[in-house]
Amino acid sequence: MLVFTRETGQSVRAANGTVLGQLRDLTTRLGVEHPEVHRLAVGSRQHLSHLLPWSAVESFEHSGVQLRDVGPVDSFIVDRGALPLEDDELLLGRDVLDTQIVDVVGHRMARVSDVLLTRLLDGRLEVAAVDVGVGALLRRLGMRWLSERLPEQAVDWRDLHLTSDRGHAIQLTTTVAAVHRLDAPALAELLTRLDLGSATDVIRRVGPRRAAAAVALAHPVVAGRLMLALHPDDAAKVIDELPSEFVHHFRDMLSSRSPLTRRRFLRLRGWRLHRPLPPGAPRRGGRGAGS
Amino acid sequence: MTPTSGPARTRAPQALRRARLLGLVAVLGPGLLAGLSDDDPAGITTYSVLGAQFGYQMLWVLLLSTVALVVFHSLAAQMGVVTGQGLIGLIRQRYGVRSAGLAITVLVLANVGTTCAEFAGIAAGFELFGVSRYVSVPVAAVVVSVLVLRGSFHRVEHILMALATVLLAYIAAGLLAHPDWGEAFKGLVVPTMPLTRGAVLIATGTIGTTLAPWGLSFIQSYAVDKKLTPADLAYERVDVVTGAVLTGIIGFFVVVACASTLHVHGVTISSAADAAAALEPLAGHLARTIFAIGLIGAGLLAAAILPLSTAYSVCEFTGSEAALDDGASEAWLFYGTYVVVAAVAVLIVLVPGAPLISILVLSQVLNAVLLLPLLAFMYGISRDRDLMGEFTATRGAAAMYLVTIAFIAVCVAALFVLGIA
Repeated sequence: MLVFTRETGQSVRAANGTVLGQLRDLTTRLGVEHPEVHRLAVGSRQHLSHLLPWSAVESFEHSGVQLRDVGPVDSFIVDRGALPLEDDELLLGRDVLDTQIVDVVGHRMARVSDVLLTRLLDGRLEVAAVDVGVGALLRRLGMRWLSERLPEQAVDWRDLHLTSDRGHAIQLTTTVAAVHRLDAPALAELLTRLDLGSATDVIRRVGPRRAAAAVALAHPVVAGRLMLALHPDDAAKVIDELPSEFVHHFRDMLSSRSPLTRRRFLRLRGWRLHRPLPPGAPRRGGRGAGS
Repeated sequence: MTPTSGPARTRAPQALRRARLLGLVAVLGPGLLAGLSDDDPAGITTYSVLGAQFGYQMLWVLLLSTVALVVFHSLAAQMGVVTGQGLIGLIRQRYGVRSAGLAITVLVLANVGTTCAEFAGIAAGFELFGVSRYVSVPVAAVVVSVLVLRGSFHRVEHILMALATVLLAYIAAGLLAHPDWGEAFKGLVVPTMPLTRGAVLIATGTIGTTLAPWGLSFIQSYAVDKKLTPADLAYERVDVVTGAVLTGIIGFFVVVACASTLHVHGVTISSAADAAAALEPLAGHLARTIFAIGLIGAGLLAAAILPLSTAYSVCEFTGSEAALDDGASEAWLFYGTYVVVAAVAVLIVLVPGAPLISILVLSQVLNAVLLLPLLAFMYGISRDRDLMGEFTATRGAAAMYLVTIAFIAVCVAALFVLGIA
C-alpha cells in the first residue's frame, strides 16, 4: 500500500534526465468504484507547471518518478490559473487530502489524513481508501514515534462521500458513487452531516421518493432545516412522497414561517448532531436551525 | 365590503405590532444576547484598568478594537457559512497539517489563558462575598462541566446571562459619574498614548480581550453549527455586528466610569474591590455586590463556552466528529479536551497567591500576541477564490484586514521592544 503524502514531493525526470519539477499532486477520475491515478501534477511549491498522463510514467518509485519518451513535454504545460481537468477528474491533494468526508458505512464525518493507493500488477496506481486516523495526522506532523502506536483508520473509497466542492459535485454526477446506492437510513445519516447546500443537492439528485424516505427517518430538527432550505417546488415533491403522518407537519411548517424560525437565542444550544432517531422513538416537530 | 367590527379593528394593529416586535426580536435578539454574553470578566477587568490608569486618553484603542471585532467576526461568520467548516478545519484544508498544527497550538494556549481569566473572574467575584477561591473555583468548574457535558447548560444560560446583564450598570454608572464628555470624545477619536510599557501593555490587552482568538473560532463554528446558507448571511451579519457593537458600547462605559471615578482620584486597580468602586456613583454601597454578581454570571458563561469551543476546534483539527449528543466513549477527544482545558485553568488560578487581576489582564495580552497568526490565516482564506467563491474578499476588504493586522502587529512589536515583563 502506498501513502499519498509519502509519494508526493519527489523529483519527476523527463526521458532525457532533466528534472521537470516535483510531484505535487495526483489526479483521478471518479467513474469507477476504485479509480486509478489518471495524471501527475508536477511543479514547484508555488504553482503547478505540468499535468502528465499516467501513460507517460516509466517508473513510479519513492525515490523519484521517471518518465518515458512521449514526445515534447511542453505539450503538457498547464496554465497557472486554470487546470484543464476533465469533468469527472479531481486532484487527490487539493480535493481530498485534509478535506472532510462522510463515511457512509461508519456513519461519521471525518477529515482525510492521507490517501491510500495500491499498485496494480501492471504498475498503475489505484485509489483504494483514505486514512482518517489521528496516527496518520501525527506522522505528517513528524511525530512518528507516537503515530506508530495508533491504528490506521481506513475508509474504503467506495464508502465515502467527499464534501469538497469539486468532490461532492462529481460524486453526484457519477453513478458509482456511494450516495447513489444508500438505503434510507444511511441517506438520513449522510444528510445529517452535510452542510445544507450540499444536502439539498443530494435530495434533488436522489429524487423525491428516496429523499422522502430519508427525511422521514432524519431527526426532526434536521428534517425541518432541510425542508426549509429546499426550493418550494422541490419541497412539495418530497412532501408528496412522505408518509401521511409527516405531510401536515411539513406543510404547516412551510406555510407559516415565523420570523423567529432559524434564529438562535442560546449560544450553548448548539454543537449537537441530531442523529436520525431510532425506530419507534417519539418524534416531535423541529423548526429549523434555531432548535 | 363588510365594515370591520370594533374588536377586529383593534386586533389588527395588535397583530401587526406583535409581528413587528417578533421581527425585531428575530433580527436583533441573538446579536444582543451575543453582545451581553461576550463581555466576560477578562474584558470588564481590562477595560477597568484602561480607564483607571489612563482615563479617557486611550479610548481610541477600544474604538479600533471594536472596529476590528466587527470586521473579523463578520469575516469569520461568512467563512463559516460559505465553507461549512470551522476555522481550524479550514486552515488545515487550505494550508495543510503543519500550519493547522501551529494554529491549534496557538488557539489552545490562548484559550487556556482566557479560561484562567474567566475562573479568576469567578474567584474575584466570590471573594467579594467572602468566599474563598479554593471553594468557589473548584465548585464552579464542576457544576459548569457537569451541566455542559450532560448537554443541559443551555437550560441555565439565560439565568447566567441575566446575572451578567447587571454589568450594564456600568452604562448608568458612567452617566451618573458626570464624566467629561469632551475629553471622552477626544480620547475616542484622537489617538495619543504615553510611550510607556504599561500603556502599551494595556493597549495590547484591550485588543486581545476585544478581538480574542477564542471569539474568532467560536463565531465561525457557531455559524457552521447553525447550518446556515449564504441566503442567511444577512441575518448572521446583523447578529455579529450587533453583538460586537454592544460589546464595544459596554466597554466604552466601563472605561468612562472608571476614568471618571477611579482615575480622577489616582486609584489604580489591584483587586476586584478596586474595580467595583467605579460603580459607586450608581449603586453606592451595593457597588461591590453588583460587580460581584456580574463577574460571577459572566465568568460562568464564559467558563462554559471557552473549553467547549476549544474542544470543538481540537476535534476539527483531528477530524473527529464532536457533538454534545455523543457519549464520552464515542467522543473521548472532545470531552477529554474540555476537561483538560478547564482543569489546567482551575489549577493555575488555585496556585497559592496567584494575582487574579494580573492573570485577567496578562492573559488578554497573550491573546493579542497569539491573534496574529490566526488573523494572517483568515486573511489568506478570505482571498482564496476556490474556497470563498463569490464571497472572496475584494481588494478594499483585503486592505482593511491588512490594516487591522498591521495595527495589532505594531502594538505587539512595541510590547516586545519595551519589554513585556
